[in-house]
Formats: sequence, C-alpha cells, structure tokens
Amino acid sequence: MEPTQSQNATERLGRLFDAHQDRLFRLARRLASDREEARDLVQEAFLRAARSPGSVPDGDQPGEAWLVRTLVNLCRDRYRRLGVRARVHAEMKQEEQDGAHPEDAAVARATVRAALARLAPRRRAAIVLHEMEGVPVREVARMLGIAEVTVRWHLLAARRELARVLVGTEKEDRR
Amino acid sequence: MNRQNRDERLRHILREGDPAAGDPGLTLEEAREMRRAVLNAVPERRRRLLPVFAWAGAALVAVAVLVAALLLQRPEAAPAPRVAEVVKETAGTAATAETPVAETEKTETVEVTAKKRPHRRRTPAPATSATSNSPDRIASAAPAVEPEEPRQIQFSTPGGTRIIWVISPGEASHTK
Repeated sequence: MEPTQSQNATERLGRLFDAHQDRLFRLARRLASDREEARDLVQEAFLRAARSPGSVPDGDQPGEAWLVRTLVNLCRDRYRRLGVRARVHAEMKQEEQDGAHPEDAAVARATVRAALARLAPRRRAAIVLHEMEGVPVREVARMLGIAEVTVRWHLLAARRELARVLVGTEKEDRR
Repeated sequence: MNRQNRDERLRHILREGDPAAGDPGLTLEEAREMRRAVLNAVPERRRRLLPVFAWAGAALVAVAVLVAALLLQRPEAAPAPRVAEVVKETAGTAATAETPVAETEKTETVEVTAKKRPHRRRTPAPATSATSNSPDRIASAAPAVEPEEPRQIQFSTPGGTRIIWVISPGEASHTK
C-alpha cells in the first residue's frame, strides 16, 4: 500500500524537525529575550510548516531558509504586538535581573541581549546570522528572502547602532 | 578607532556575550514533546482527497463504457453489401444471369452515377441519343412501359456471393 500524502508530509516534517530544530533554537535564543520565548518561536515556526506542508519548499537548504524566514517573521509579529513601553520595561527588567548576577559572562550576555533587543527583528536576524553564526551575506540574503544589498545595509545600520551601545558602554566601563 | 577596528571589536563583544552560548539547547524531553505536537498538527488529507478519487474513478468508468460502445458499433457501420437492382426484359433474363461479375458491376456503376449526378453529363446532346439504349435508360423506362413483366433483382456481396431474385407478378419468387 502506497503512503498517503499526509504520511509523506509527516515524514518530511519529521526529517525537517530533526535536522533543523537545534540550529533554529539557537537562532531563536539569540533573537528572543528569554528561553521560553525562543522555544515558543521554534515551535510556532514548525507548526506553521505542519499546517501548510505545501508551502515548505523541497530540499534541505530551501526548507531551512523557509524556517528561518518564518522564525524572523514571528519575531517581527511579536515585536509589533508588544508595545514600545512594554518592550522597554521588559528589557530594563531583564537587564536588572541579569546585571545582578555576579559573573562577567552573564553580564556580557545581558548587555548584548539588551543591545540586540533594540534592533528591529530583521536587522537583528541579519547581524546575528552574519556576525555571531558566521553565515555569509549571500546565505543571509537567501534565508531572509531579501537582496544582498539590503542585507549589507541592515548590517551597516545594525553595527552602527550596536557600536553606539556596546562599544560606547565599554569605553565608559574602562574609565 | 577606525571603522574596521570598530567592527572587529563589536564582533568580539557580540561573540563573547552570545545569549545562546551557555544554553545547551532543547532538552531531549522538550524536543520530543515539540516534535509530537508538530507532527500531530499535520492535517489529515486522505478524507479530503477521497471525493476527488471517487469522481475520477466514475469518470474513467464512463469513458471506458463509451469507448467500448463505440468499438462494438463500428463493425455495423462497415459498408453494406452493394445491392443492384436491374430491371430488364424477361427475354434477356437468362443472358443477364450468365453475365460475368465485372460486367454486372460496370452496369451498377453506371446506374449509380446516373442517379447521383443526373445534370452533370459532359457529353454533348447527340451522345444522349446514342446512349438511349443503355441499361439504366431501360431500367428507368421499363416499369412505366410494361409494369406486368417479371422483375429481376441481383445482389452482389463483398464476399463474392451473387444472389439473383426473379420476381414474376402473380407467382412465387425463386432464387437461382
């Protein structure tokens, strides 16, 4: 008996999940404010793939790119839903919690997270993929579904914004 | 600090403070639970496609029946055996019966041509008088002149069988 389309979609989705859940969670962890949010984002991205299996392109790399795009779009949706005031409040609360931690690494993580949180989701995704994960600009463009020149523009703007926060902070700390 | 140094420094800071650096990722239990939830969300498509298959099957059966009907009707549509009806005088009956097949067929051909295209003769007017004794003329004129004379009907089938009926008024017909 031949497998039905539903069975094929399930198997394909299972393979997609096994291959990319770890990498997608790491990306979500860098884009989201906390672990719970990152987990929700990953699950929601895979659920979207499950609800419309036809929209996920065939192949490993196109499938991964589709998941990354979906994840970034989910981040954008949350970013828009969350009001500016609530967002700033949440960031300040997070910084207070993390800043109270005595370890330097934790402080550094909290600072970077807070700086990244200031960026718009797509810009944040571009800088995270390129600078933290080492993905080439061309690949970032393919994953986000935008032009290479747009990625470069996002990177330039993101570096400027982050430098103002992180490098400036570092200078003040050194004094 | 120039731009290149600034970017390098920024990259270093970002990697040092990577929020995912100390996170081991999803635990086995978390991953298993998420996988189950995701795979359960795949919509069941078999029921949705069932009517489509049913309609396609019905259409196939209908087409098959139609084709079979057409194939069965085709032999009946084959050309029917040619039937020639030649009415001649009673005196010429025996001679006509012994006429070779080719000659009979020629007579039939002339007769059919005359019936189908009566006004398209290219022969001039004097030729008409010359052909006035042709069999088709006799055939068309004979019933009007002597309706009481015996009639002869010849059938020639594609298989070569020749059937000749002689019909005499007031008598039973016989076949040779």
